[in-house]
Amino acid sequence: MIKQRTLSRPMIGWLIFLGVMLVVGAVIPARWGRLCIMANYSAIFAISWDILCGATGYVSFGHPFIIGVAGYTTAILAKQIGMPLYATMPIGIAAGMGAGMLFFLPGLRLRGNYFCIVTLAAMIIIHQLVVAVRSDLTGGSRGLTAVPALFIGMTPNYYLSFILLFCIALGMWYVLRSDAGMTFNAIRMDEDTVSGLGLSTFRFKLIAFTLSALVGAVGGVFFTHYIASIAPGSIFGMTFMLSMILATLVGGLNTIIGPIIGAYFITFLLGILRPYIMGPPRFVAYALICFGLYIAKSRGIYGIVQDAVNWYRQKKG
Amino acid sequence: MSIMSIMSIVIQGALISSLYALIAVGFTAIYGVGRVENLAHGAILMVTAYVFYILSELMGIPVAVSFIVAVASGIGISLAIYYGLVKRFKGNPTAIFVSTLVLAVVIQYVFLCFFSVQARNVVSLVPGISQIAGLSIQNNLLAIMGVSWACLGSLLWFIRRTQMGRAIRAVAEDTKGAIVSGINIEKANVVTWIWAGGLAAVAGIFFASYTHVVPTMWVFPLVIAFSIVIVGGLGSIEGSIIAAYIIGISETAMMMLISENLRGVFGMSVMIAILVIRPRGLLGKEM
Repeated sequence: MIKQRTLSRPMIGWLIFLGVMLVVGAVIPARWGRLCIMANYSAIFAISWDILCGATGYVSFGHPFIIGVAGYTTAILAKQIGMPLYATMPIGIAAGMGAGMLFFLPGLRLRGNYFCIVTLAAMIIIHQLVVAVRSDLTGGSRGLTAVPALFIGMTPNYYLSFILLFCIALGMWYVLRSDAGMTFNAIRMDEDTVSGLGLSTFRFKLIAFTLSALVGAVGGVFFTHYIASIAPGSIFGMTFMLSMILATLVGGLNTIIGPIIGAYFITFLLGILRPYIMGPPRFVAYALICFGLYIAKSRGIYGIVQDAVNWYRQKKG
Repeated sequence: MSIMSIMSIVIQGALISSLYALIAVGFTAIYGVGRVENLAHGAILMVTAYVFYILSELMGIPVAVSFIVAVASGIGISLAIYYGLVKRFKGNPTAIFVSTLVLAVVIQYVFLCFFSVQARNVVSLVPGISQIAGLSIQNNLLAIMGVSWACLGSLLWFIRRTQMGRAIRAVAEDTKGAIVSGINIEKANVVTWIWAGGLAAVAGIFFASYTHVVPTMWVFPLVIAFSIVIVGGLGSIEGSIIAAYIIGISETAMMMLISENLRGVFGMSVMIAILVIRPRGLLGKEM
């Protein structure tokens, strides 16, 4: 008997993921639920990084710039000017994407290593500017607190963050499997060949960048209204930027599923280490663990799982 | 604007520019010879500044001895980065970017474990104040200028006149061609990393005595190195020196005329403008 399959195997996987996470949200204790929310947002940021840097190979160190500009815009409009959230959030997303385009596109037009330098410099400079310029609006180095929140309590925020993550992950997963996604990968492998085939590599880099900035800005806006505060040291700091990159590397570059795994791994690792190691040593420990994992297995946890599945299939014959 | 303030901008700017040149030249040389961006360059400056601070301030060892030990430690870290990260990830630029940056942040956190975020002052290498054209200038800054030119001059002599320097230039120009001509690529790389580390160490010590030591002090030199190197042309040592003076003097002017907070911001703006108008930089050869 031939089994009729209406859903492809990855689709079943996505549905299982959806079902499990929906059930988990109803039963999980608040402390772990809050960790899950943090992990969901880190996963969104990691996916945002992955869609540009994992796929096309153009490493960005400036994603916090996009996320932070989006977050600051909506926070300032909502708190200092008192606009309603349904107006400030789209403006924040547009501002984050616009600022990203303005500063990063000159670097993206060029090949090779310029992009990473431009993005890192943009992030460091915005950190200085936010502290120094118009601190009456931005709150200076202390940032803004008591920003209006979207939802109060763990459960609605859990579902909001998870639904966002699920839609973004599924959408980006489809993009990476489309023709455009194939072209991103081809650009990483050999940009000259791609442009030799008559494709405008800049246009595809622009598509990847726009998607990446959109995901980052959406994540930044919702995240700001979840934690209800924003401060330059945390959003434009090296630690936040590295957590995004390490989540992608630990989970598996260029897979979309990898960053989700990596974000959960890192968030829970930090949450579990918290009672035992305090302050700076905790970050040293965490960075070394993640980096050790990456050096040992550069395809990340996703690669380890893939190898295990292949090994099992081969053994079965 | 009076003649005095123009003089003061030019002199102050030139002094700080010589420090910037010293910061950037190692970064550009490493890019030139191996096409590697060492994002831990700022961290080398920070570590050597701390080594100098610990030896001279906390342990009371004479300044000259501390200076030599600090420079040796800079060379050591530089070689460790080359052998530990850059060689291991050869041909994988993403891994090199990320690993050198992770290293810099890890080093920052290691120092945060032992020293607080509070900035500490370092002993002035050359104490006292001189009068030049009616301006009071710290002897320390004059010493920076002298040391910077001594270092850069001997570096240019080394690169242009010696056999090893010619080999390094050949590798930077065309690595495959250099291999064919029988140049030892490995040796050219190691020599470059050694003197890049040494110059970064000297720059770190003077940068610390000009400002202070703090675990986050590696970020600013890195930004300065970026903007100078892109304005001057990635990989061009002469271009970097010229760009250091352009950026240093115009930044000093901006800071004196508009706001103190613009340090670093200006260099970044020039960098983006250069990327739009002339991506290969002032003296860069090709993209």
